[in-house]
This record gives sequence, structure tokens and C-alpha cells, in this order.
Amino acid sequence: MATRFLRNALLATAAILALAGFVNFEVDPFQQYRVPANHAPRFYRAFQRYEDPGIARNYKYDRAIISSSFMENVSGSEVDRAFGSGRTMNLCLSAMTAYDGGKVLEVALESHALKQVLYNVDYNAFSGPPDRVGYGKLPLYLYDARRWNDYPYLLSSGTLGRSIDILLDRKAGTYRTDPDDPWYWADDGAGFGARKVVEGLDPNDINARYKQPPRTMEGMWASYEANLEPLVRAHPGTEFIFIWPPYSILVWIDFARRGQLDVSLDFKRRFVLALSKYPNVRIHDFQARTDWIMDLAEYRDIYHYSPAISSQLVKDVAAGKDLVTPANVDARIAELRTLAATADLAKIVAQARGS
Amino acid sequence: MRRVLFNSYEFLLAFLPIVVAGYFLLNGLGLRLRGGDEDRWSDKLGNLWLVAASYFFYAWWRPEFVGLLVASTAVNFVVGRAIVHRAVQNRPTTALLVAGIAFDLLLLAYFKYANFFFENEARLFSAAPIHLDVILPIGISFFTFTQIAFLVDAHKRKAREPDAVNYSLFVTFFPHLLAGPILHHREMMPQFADRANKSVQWDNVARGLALLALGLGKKVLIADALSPQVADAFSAGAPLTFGDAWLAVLCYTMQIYFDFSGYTDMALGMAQMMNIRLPVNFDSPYRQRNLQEFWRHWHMTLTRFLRDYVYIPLGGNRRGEAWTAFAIVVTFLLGGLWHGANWTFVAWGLANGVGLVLLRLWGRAGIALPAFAAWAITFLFVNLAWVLFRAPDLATAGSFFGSLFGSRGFAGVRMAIVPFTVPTLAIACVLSMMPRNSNRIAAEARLGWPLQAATALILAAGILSVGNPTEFLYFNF
Repeated sequence: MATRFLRNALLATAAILALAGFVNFEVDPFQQYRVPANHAPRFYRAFQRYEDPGIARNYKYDRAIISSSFMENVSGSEVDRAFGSGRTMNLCLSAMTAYDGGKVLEVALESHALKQVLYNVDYNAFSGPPDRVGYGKLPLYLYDARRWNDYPYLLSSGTLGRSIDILLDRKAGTYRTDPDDPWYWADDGAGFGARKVVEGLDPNDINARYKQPPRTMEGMWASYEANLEPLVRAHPGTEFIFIWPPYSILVWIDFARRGQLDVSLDFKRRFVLALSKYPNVRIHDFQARTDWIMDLAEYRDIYHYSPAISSQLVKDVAAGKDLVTPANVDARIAELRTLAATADLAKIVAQARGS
Repeated sequence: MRRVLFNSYEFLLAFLPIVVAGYFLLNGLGLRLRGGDEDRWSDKLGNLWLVAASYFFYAWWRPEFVGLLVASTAVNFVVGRAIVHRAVQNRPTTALLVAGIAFDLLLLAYFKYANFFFENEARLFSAAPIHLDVILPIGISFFTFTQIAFLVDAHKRKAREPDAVNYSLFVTFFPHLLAGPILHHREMMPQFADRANKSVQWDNVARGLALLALGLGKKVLIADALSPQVADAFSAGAPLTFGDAWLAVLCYTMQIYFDFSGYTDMALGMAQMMNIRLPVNFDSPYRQRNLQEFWRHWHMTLTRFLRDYVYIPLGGNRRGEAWTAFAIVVTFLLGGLWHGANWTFVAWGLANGVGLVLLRLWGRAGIALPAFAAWAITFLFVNLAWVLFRAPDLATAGSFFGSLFGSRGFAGVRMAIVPFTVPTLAIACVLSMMPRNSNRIAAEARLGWPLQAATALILAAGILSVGNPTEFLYFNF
């Protein structure tokens, strides 16, 4: 009786696991093994950290966007139009840290001969230890070249649920289907506008809503050295285009009030000086673009700007505008420092609330 | 470095099958090698294998802490053996006992309580806190307590001279190493030495597998499914509504039971597969009708330890009612602190201690409650006490109690309900009240097709849920 119990129970368990693994491998809802041929791809923003390595590995492209949510609203085709050629894949990760970005970029660089990488530089991405991840645990088993260790993906009821959704053509969950703008969020209905930016904002503690941790130069530089610089050095045939994004003026006021302005600007200066020695690097800085950063109507919150700014930013990058070099970095930093020091928070908030 | 939990692919699909198979293969080899009864080492091949596997299991978490486990085991073994030797010769053993316990408590104090002490000292004297950069070695409370019990019993002439291999196995046996149950040498050493346990007993393997599956299901399919709702509630920045708080506390009450008892079921199941019976740790605690009965059915091996090694040495109920009340409260305060270095655990222990004292006073009054009312009061008390256990600090607990008691009104559930929380909670409530719990099902049920099918389905569903993708919830930037 007992041996029959064991035989039947273990065989049945093995059969269920094998069936689940087979279905997940064949349907491959997170696109780890192939670009789907028999159904529209599903890009689940909630599972970017699972999908991105597969997308990075399996799609055809020669230019990659590596960014946190700042560049998620940028479509590959608009980058291609701005640059006049090429094929761009958006490999953004919401709340990306330098570590997260480095891992995705490694997959992209190992699997493709990339002409260019558009890399959005966010100060907060470099906070904490060099291996800090932006959310939960990064499923590293999907980021390496080994397939045998993918069992958490294949033997997963979560994956199976999405496989069944696809097999039954069930529209469950939130996802996009166009590889051109897989992570676009600006059309989610929440909108943009000055009033929205200051909604629920505590002027005495702007960061309360964002909970961004304090940064140190040592920590940020350790993360830079671990996650970014080695990739630039190891791929001289790829042009790395770094972009300092246009946060709203409120971010600079917040940095100044939290004692984070100096460390941020010092980091930028060191970053520019260190990377400018590489011939395959250029750096664009939009952080003091007052026509953008003072216009809160174009923002959703103090950090995130509208698709209109995103599109213009891409065009300006392609056109080589707002380049920052060792020759002008100090002047640009001084400009930002002045902006942060002279901005009138009370007035900005009052105007935004009355808009 | 990853912590290998029972609910991981590596453990379930590789480590456990290899260890169980290796155990019986080596036992078989040992039997073949044994020339005569005096050749004891060949008898211990299987146990040596389990010791090695247990150290490997621990090393998988953090290899550097294996040294601590080895040192703790070795020191207690040497001290315990010396105590037994001296006891046989009727020589005093108190100094050795004190030295051994001091060693154990110092380890525990350094790794678990030093920063708590320094933080409170700094708060008390308004000084800059000293902070030791230490990591809490997983399972330290469990392997320390089992060994303190051994030393005390050796001192009381209740322990026999230990065998080195079996003693190591008693301390490190991987099913209990991280989260109990808290073993007692008297119930384990004879099992490790018993030759009848060395060969495969298919009924034990089958029932052990069934219990392992039930435990995995409890942990992965129920406790883990309730976890996000609880985490959201206890980390919410704004105060919760009345409905939110009650939903969260009920979810946590079920989460902690299904998590801990599920983990324990897995431990008992895998040990049973190797013919080792670990003590039952949970026996339908939420069905009980008073707090004393609850504690006789919840984390039973801890209750037993606290009773035998704290409450009774404190005098127990032999010194009058007032002293008994004092002994109960002190025992539960220490029990609370054992769970973690935080005032919330102290408050939780205090609440339970005071609750038990009040129960004694009620008992003396001789007023019997209807069964349902007795159950409801007990269940309600346990629910409220879990708030102290789960809250990260007393301020959060206070805010939670404010919401539970309607200090902010009586609004219903306003927080987002994580999918499947409500049906999982309903299933959990029903299962926790069923008279036949997992231990009884695995022990008593016929090994027919219903149990076969249930075992396979739960095992497969549990394994398929072990590594589910974590949904990214950062949508509000």
C-alpha cells in the first residue's frame, strides 16, 4: 500500500510538473526563448524584471534604451526617426538601479552588436550598495546564458497562469503588445499638470512622498565603478550616450533642502570627467533646461515629465544638443546650483495649486 | 548566498531526495560492513551523512556561520560530557553547568540582543548608540535552547553520556535546525541510536511525504498568499480604517499559523521519511477555548521548554497564587524576548502572561462560559496579541489598536485587497477550525487514492508556487 502510494503520488507530481514546464516553455509568456510567432507578445510592466532579459536577448535591434521610468514613454521608432537609421529597443525598468540597468545592458551587449546605447542617468539609481535592486529580487537566472537554471520560470504557477491566458486568448492583467513602446505609461489616465505635481506634496518635506534614500559619493561611485564603467570600457565599438534627464525644479529644491545637492552635483562632475576620456561616450545634460524644468504643466510628479518633453529630448540628443564636457561641466553645475538656490518654493507651489 | 528554505526548488527537488536516499543507502552499507555488534562506526554512517548534510544545509545560508554552529555544538558536547562524568562520580557539576550556560547565553546575547541593549541604553542615557555590525545567525535560538536543556538535564542526572555523532545530529538535524521544533535529547538520542530506524519503512516514507506536502501547501498556498495583504497593512503610512485593520489582523492570524505550522509539518514529514519522529508542535491551537489551552497547542515545544526550564525552576505554582502569577508573567516575558530583540515581543509576551494570570483568576471565580463565548474570547485575544508580534514597533502597534477599536471611526475596508486574499482567508479560517489537522490526516488517513491524489496535487501546486514572479507594484512612482 505504502509503496503504491509513493509511486503514484510521486509519478503524478512529476507528471504535473513536467506538463507545466512544457507548457511554459512552449508558450513562453515572458519571451525568454523566442519572440512569439503565434500570438501577440505581451509586455507586462509589472513583470519587467522577468521580461527584459528575454526581450534584450531575442529581439532584433542595434540600439538600446536603458533607463528607469523616465524613458519608458519613448518609442523605438521615434528614436530611429530622430537618429535617421537603426532599430531601437526600449529595455527600461521602472525604478531601475545602476545594478538592474547593468544586468540588462550586459544581456543586450552580449547578444547584440549594438551601435548605440541611450543610458538615462538617475542619481537615485546609484544610491545604496552597488548591488542594490530597485524592487524585490532580480531573477538573475534569467539574465545569464544558462538555460538549465530557468526552472523557477518554467516550474511556476504564475508563469503557467499567463501561459493559459495566452492559450485561451484571455485578456487578463495589464500589458501592452507593441514591441515599439512596450513600457509606455503616459496614457494610463492619470495625466500630467502642475496641480497634479503638487497634489499631496508636503512643501516642508518634499521627499516624504518619494522616500528616496540619502546618497554618499563613496556609495554612488562604487556603484558606478561596479555597474557602468566596466561595460563602457569593454565595448569600445558601441557608442554610449548618457542622458541627464530634466527633473522639475522641485527636485533641485528638495535636493538642496535635504543636503543632497552637493553630492549629486559632485557626482555628475566626476561622472563627466571620468567618462569623457572614452572616445565611445557622449553625455547630454538637460537638467538646467529652464524651458522644461520650470514648466510643471509638463510633469506628472516632481520627477517625471511628459511624452512631449521625452520626444523633444530624443531629437535634441540625436542632434547633439546640450552636450556636457569637461570644459563646460562646471558652468552647468553652477547654473543648476543657482537655480536651486533662487527658486521660490512657496510661489511655485502656490502657482501650481492655483493652476 | 541564499538561505535554503524547505520551500525552495533546490531543497525539494535535489537536497531532500538525495539526503533521504543517501541516508538509507549508507545505513544499508553500514549493515553490510558491520562485522560484529561491537563495530559501532559502521552503524553511524547514515547519521554521519545526516550531520554532513545538515552542515551543508546551514552553510548554504552563510558558510562563515558554520564555524559558530560547530563551536556551539562542540563546547556544549564537551561540557555536557564532563558534567555527566562528574555526576556519575558524585562530584559537583554546578560550576560546569554555569560555564556552559554562560557560553550559550553570551553567544545569544552577542548575536541577538547586543544591539537591542545598546539602543535602549543609549535612549535611557541620551547617549550616542553603539552599533555592532552583526548578523543574526539563523536558528541560533533553537540550537542554543536545545543545548541548554541538555546541560541542565545532565546536571540533574537526567541525561546519559552523549555519543559525539548522535549529539551533533541532535543539534544540527536539518529539519529542525532553522525553526524548530525545539528538540529534547531524551526523545531524540534513542531514535538516532535505534537500529530499527536504519532501514526503509515505506509506511513512514509515505506518511512523511503526505505530511510534507500538506505542510508545503499550508506554507506556500495559504500563508504566502496572505502575506502581501498583511505587509501592505503593517507598512501603510496612513492610519488604517476599522475594516482595514480587522482584515489585516485576521489575515496575519492565519498567515502566522499556516506559515509556522506548515513549516513544522514539513520538518516532521521529512524526518518521518527517515524514521525519525520529531515532537508535534501545533495541534489545532485556534480551536481552543482558553488561553492556557491555546498555549498547550501552539508552538508546543517552546511552551514545554519554558515550562520545564523557566517556569518550574522559578517555583511554578508551588509558592502561592501571587508567586505563580509572577512566574507566569516572567516566563512569558522571556518567551516574548526569545522571539526577537524588540519591545513589541516583550509586550506580546507580557500580554500573554497577564492574559494567563487573568484566566487563573477567572477560573477561581468558578464562572463557566458557554463554549462558543470561551472560544470567541480566546480567539479574539490571540488575534489582538498578534498585532504586537507583527508590528515593527510599539507606535505602529498603538496606531493599529486605535483602528481596531474604532478610535478613527468604523469605516469598512478601504485599502486595496490583494487578489485571492479573501477566498484564501476564508479557506484558512475553515481549515484552522477543522478537528482533523494535518498531523492527524497524515498519521491516520488510509493511503488510498484520495490521499495519493491530494498529496500529488498539493505537492505539485506547492512546488509550482515556490518561485512565482514577484509583481512590481511601483505604479504610483
